[in-house]
Amino acid sequence: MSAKANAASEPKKRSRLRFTRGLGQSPLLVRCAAVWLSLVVFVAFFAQWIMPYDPEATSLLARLEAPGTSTRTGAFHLLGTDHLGRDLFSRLLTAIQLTMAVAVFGTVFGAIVGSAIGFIAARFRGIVDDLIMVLVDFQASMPFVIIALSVIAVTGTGNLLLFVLLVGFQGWERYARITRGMTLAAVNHGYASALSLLGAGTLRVYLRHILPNIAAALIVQITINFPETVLLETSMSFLGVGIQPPNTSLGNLLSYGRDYLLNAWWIAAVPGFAIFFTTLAMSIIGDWLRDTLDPTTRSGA
Amino acid sequence: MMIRVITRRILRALLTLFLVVTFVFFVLRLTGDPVSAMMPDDTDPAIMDQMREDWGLNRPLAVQYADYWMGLAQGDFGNAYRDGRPALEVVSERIPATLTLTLTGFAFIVIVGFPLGILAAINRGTVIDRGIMTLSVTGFSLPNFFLGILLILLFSVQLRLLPAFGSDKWYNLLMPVFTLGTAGAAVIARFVRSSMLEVLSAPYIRAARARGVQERQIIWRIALPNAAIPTITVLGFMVGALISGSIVTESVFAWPGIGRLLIDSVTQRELAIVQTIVMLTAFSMVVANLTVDLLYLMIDPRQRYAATSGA
Repeated sequence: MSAKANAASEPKKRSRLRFTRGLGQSPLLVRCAAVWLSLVVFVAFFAQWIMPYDPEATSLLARLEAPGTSTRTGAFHLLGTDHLGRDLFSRLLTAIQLTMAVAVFGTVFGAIVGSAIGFIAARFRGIVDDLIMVLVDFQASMPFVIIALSVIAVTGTGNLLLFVLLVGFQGWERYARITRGMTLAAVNHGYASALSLLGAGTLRVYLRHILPNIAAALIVQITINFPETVLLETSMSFLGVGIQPPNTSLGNLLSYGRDYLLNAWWIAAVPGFAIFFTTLAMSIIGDWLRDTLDPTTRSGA
Repeated sequence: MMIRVITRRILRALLTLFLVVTFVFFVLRLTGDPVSAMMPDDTDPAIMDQMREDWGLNRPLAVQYADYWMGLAQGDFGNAYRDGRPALEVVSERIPATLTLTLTGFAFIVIVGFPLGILAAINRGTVIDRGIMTLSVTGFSLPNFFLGILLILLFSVQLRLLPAFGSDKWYNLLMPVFTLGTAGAAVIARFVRSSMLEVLSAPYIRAARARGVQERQIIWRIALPNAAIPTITVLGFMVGALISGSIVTESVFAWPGIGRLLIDSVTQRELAIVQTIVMLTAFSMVVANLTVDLLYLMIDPRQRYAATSGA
């Protein structure tokens, strides 16, 4: 059987992995996505230095100015102003910064916790493993946003750290499942038991030897999870149960814009397209990374 | 043998429901004191103690947990703080609006996703295929809250064709359903395409062609039914996506359903209503997953064989 037919026999996996393939696999597209993401990363680090105005500075004389207008005071607003006369471009930059920070911390947190749970299941087996797998199945059958909302209902909104951890927790069950499965396979390979025979401690075997061997699969999972984290954070902020003012995420910006659709469409359109381009770029880059990192899909291409 | 497999699936479904109830109980009882969360900070401590006494919050946890189950068994999901009405009643009023939206959304996913996927598969590698797949990627990456706003901007603000809000006329459904269903339709189109391509390259299709069966017959009578089987699983996933999606969609279009009620209840900390909605969601998810599992067993003999021999 050819590699192609082999890959096609797993349609479910294939369709998820190759989601953006239809765009023609053009490297140009990957490059465009990379440029956009680099811009986003640059903004995430240097927003404070490149923003033309204070994002919180209001100006009642320059409310709802269209993109590209100069006000009487001589201020130029590349992306216009909002209902309080704040410069939308500067606000966009801080919002990108916060959204990216939440997504990065959240994703890393979720990846670490999820894989640690997977390691624990593989290490102890038996009842611990069963219990963890029941929880994994449970999580997989409940929409995460419902669980996140019920936690927020109890704790209330406004706790930024809790929100970041909560958003990051999304997808933990997938890390756990991958880590557990691959660790069990790695343990059977013999090199792990050889190491323990040589006297290496459990932690050392898992972190120094097994983890690097399953890292590629975890990175693939991170590229799938990262855009999902961005979407979860922005949609919860949009709904008013995520990031709270005075902090501003792209979701908050979009929800302010919703009230001014009639006379100032740009307030909603600017953050909306920023979210859209970012998630799209991440899907494209993620697909490309997956093909590069995962030898099983490389041959099928 | 089959009965054993089905029993096992049903037991697993019940276990999930048990876990949901336990999760809700512990989240609500352990992460905070409902009395101090509800009352103003300067409330007299004696009054707060009295409330805890009245609500039975100072009893042992196990007793409270058992009591909680007893309440649920009798349909008691607690009362809303605001007006004291039973939470189940408040939530039930919103069910028809959400069902209208999600069921139409589900139909949209199937009606749009399947033909696009088939069309792309038949025209593999052509402009049509690439066009559909580009649409699919865009639809999948476009956040639904932003899609809803774009639709309002285009059809309500610019063209003045559709009202941005309202839920009593049939055309009020158009934009919410499109918002809710687009991502799902994109996923289904993608999946149907690859599933069709896989089936079309199978030996029995070549055999049919060799026998001189018309191409139209091959696609509609032989390939499509076989390609449709694995999409049942994906359609099962869609139930969860539709439930999460309806929360956002209902908020964007002010749709008077459960999703918007959930967001309102979260901001107002109406815990009884939140827990009722969580359990209702879990129940729908469990029923959906169980239905998918059983449908699969019924439709696909290979699954039946694998399930019984593997058990």
